[in-house]
Amino acid sequence: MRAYIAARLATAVLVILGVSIVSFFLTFLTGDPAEIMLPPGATAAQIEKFRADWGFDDPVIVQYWRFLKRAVHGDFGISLRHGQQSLPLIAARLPATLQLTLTAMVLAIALAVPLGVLAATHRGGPIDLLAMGVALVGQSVPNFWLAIMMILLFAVSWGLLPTSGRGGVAHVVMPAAAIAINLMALLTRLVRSTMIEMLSEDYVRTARAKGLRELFVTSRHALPNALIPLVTVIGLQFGYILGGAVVIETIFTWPGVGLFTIQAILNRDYPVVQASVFILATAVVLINLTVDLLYVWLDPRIRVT
Amino acid sequence: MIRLARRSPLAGAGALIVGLVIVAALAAPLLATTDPIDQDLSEALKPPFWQGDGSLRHPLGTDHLGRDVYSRLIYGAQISLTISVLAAFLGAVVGVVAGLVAGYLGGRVDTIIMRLADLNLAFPLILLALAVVALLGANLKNLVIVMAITTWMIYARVVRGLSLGLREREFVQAARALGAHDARIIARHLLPNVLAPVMVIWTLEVARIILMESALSFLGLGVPPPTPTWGRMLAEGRDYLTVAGWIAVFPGLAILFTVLGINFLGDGLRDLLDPRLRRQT
Amino acid sequence: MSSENPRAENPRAMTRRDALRVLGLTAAAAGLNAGAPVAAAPTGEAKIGLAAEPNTFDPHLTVGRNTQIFIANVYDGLTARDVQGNLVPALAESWKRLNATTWQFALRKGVKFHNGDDFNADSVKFTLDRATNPETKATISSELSTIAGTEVVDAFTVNVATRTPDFLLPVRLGELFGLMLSPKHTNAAGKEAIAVKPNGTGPFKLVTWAKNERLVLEANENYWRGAPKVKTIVVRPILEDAARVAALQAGEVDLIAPIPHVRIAELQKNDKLVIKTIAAPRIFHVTIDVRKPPFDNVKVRQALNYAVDVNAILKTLYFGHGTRLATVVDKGALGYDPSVQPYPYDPSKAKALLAEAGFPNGFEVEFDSFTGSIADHSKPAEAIVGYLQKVGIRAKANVFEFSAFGPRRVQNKTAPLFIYSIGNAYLEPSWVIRWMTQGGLGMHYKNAKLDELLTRIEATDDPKKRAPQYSEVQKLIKDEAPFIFLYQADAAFGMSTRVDYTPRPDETQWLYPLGLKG
Repeated sequence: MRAYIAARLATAVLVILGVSIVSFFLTFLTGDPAEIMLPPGATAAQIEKFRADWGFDDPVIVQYWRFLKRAVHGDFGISLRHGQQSLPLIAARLPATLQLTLTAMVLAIALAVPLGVLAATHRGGPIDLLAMGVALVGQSVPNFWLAIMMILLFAVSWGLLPTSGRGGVAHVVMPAAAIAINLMALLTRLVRSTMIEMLSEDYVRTARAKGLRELFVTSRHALPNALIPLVTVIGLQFGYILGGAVVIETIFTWPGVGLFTIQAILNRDYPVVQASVFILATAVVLINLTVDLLYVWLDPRIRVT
Repeated sequence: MIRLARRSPLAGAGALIVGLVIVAALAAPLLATTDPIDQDLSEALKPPFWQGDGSLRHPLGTDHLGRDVYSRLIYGAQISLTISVLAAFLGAVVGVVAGLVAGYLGGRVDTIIMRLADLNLAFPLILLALAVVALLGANLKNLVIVMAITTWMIYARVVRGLSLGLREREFVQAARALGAHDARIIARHLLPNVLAPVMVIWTLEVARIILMESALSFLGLGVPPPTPTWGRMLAEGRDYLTVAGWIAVFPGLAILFTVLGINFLGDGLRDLLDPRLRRQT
Repeated sequence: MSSENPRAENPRAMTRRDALRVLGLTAAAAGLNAGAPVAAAPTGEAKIGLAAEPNTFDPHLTVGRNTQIFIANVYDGLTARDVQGNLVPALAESWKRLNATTWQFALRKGVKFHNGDDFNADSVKFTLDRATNPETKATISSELSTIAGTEVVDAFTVNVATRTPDFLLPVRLGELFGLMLSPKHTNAAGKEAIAVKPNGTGPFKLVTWAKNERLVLEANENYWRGAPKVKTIVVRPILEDAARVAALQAGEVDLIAPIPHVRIAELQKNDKLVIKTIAAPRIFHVTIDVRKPPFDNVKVRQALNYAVDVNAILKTLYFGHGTRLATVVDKGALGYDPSVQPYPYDPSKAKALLAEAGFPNGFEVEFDSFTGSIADHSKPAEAIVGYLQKVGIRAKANVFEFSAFGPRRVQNKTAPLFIYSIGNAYLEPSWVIRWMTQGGLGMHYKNAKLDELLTRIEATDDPKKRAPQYSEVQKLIKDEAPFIFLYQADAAFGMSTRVDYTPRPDETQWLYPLGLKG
């Protein structure tokens, strides 16, 4: 087991390096920030001079090597736009993002698992139909539209919740809900479908045949295995959400990593993009590692290669 | 087709809805009343015919440039559907194959494939979309590829997990003992067993891609104007939600309707595959 | 990136401020401690919601007009603008030109930075040297590239030498690019600290800054113009238009800027809110590559202008909140000549001109536009492309993301037609037109007569004498039609009835005069 973890960590480093290289090249290839950093009155000659001053006209490899040398010391460079060290800038945003995404995930799981289990165990009945209906609608709603509608209703018309910004429970409710709704729908359906599979599996039928009570059967034998794809998908979705809740963060001006990153990408702020990509990649890789370990714990039949 | 409907009314209903959408997409030139990109600023922001000063000339109203919402909706079906279905399908094919191979063969192959998935997953979609759009241009083909790239990992990981379990099962062991080739085992024994969750995931993915397309349009990285896609119409309508809600409501409903249909179809198909699955075991 | 028309729409609020300023000036001139002359102590807290926050408080590393217009609350330049857009003294009490390439500034005495450091000639030399030092890599270096050197004559007099005659130097060294730093503090604190902990001479101090969350300004009670009225201003960046308007409606903030044009009518009906608009001097235009046929033919260029119904665009996309421009001179700029009429919308005339030029069936062309950036260019671009197609010009639209569009401009790889806008931060048409005739960045129109007219204008120091000379310039540009002339849009501010604020037409978010009622 320990060898497995060690090997996984080694490849994790490779993955993070890979992401860093690809993202640097891609950001670079799509244009450097010189034109957008200078005032509009700058002439072409002045832009060239600026580019030379900042070293943007050096070959990509040279620039990446410069970046890498400092990065191994934890110095991701000074943000071109903010004039501050990049890594701390991004790190300062993590708590906000974690607050939002964890709340959203807890919300989604807390609703999806019971709903999915109920639907699977009462398959074909009205509860199943209701659960599926809710899930279907939830997964079809464009979440930014939902977010704006929520703001208009709860904040402006009814004055119950604040319109935007970060804060405590009142502030996090709407953005978390907007993120959670698609996720909840997805998880409900997955839980239901895998539960149905498991419930018809041999070993479950065997357990049932032995006369164990329905409930016991469900929880002890079926649920852990139903959780495998669930855990996988949650792990995957966390990766999406972490970097991808950009739209929701924008609408609520939630000062998270996603919003900051997309601004940095559009501004070609290389150091910040690199710092952000590094943090996000590390988070995702670690989560995937956790998911893989959970696999083994949940299904003893899986042999770890 | 009729047999399908009889066996599972859900699948039948789904097929009907999806069929309607596909017909709308294919017959767009016949069903639309105007050229979807024809502007007329004097007719801008007219409401649907049942409100205010709307008229049957523009039954679902007009957008901020005076373009007919109904016609754009019909043509939008063509494009949104094409992108989403193609991207989801492409992603599914790549992902399922990758997952089966990784789970079944294990070892180095597994590691490489999963690490590629990790890399892809850890990579910010926005950056990828931006890079593709900036370097290769924003057109349908490139967007399909971008979105396929964001979806294959889900299948790969889930299928791999299932493969790992299935690999140890008796019927697989038996087949191996009988000397069957790996490829055959994967195709005949593993694939059918993963189809059910894959189907569910696929239907969800099509939906997610349709929504992702609108998110990319929101950020200005989607299909470029004036091409009407539902996602683009949603993004354009966002600025006018409080004064001309119809611009965003109808494509939103179209998305909902289509996604619903796809899900009914997927569910129905899963139900149909179920008895077959049981037969395998 | 844009500036505003300083012509005030509402001069009534000026009187009290004027009085304070005069008092401040007198006190300073008499060598007294330029502390708050007679103003009452600042009280109260105002909350503001903006679409963007500054990227840094280091005046030499600002990116974008949004930053420049905001940090002017914490710093001062040598000059400033009043509500009518006239250039007025700030940290410099007077200035004159010694010779063609040297300006002399007489500095205000008794001004202190927030931390107590004195402002004097050394501050000016230090600031300008830092800005022009290649090691600083200042983003505003392009705007100060005319400066050759700064000389301290005595403690309160500096001479600034320029490489070529620069009639705009006093404006450059004002609120735009001449915000003054304290040498002692800047050297001690270092570059990174200045970005987030500024030390200026301005009416407000930056107390807290949590990026993307909030920014807190506190009144500088020793401000040389007199302390501001409000003690604390909390600024929240709210990027999403709908959320910003919602925040105002819900009373979470007292003032927001900007308001999207589509919401103005609805908000004007709200009794609890006051909406004020100003004509933002951002000049929208479509650049025509006059080198490439058929655009080398003036008839074709004029046809393009007749083909687009700009008034309809203003009405539908901006809900009427904008001004049609006949040329590339904005309404509030010096020398704007309203007698130069814009091209009317006349598609048949457009087709006739095209036929005369040899294109009775139109032709194909590519049209570039982009998304992102601080103003929406893609919607007007779509509308324009639509109009061109109606007269037979089969324009193919290419839409780029803003940062990807930049390299195309710099490498002169833009389509023959592309939409763009330029903010006339200098309020001087010559600056805009020189930029547009630079022969690079996709703009290749040149005209010797135009150059001659501009050179004569630039040699005229007195603005009153410069203004009428611009009429000929505008007539020339209109007839030559090297652009499709479009418009300037209004900027709308929304505030609750408890706020007393008149937006400054040059877009500087000048919070000094902001007051609270009740």
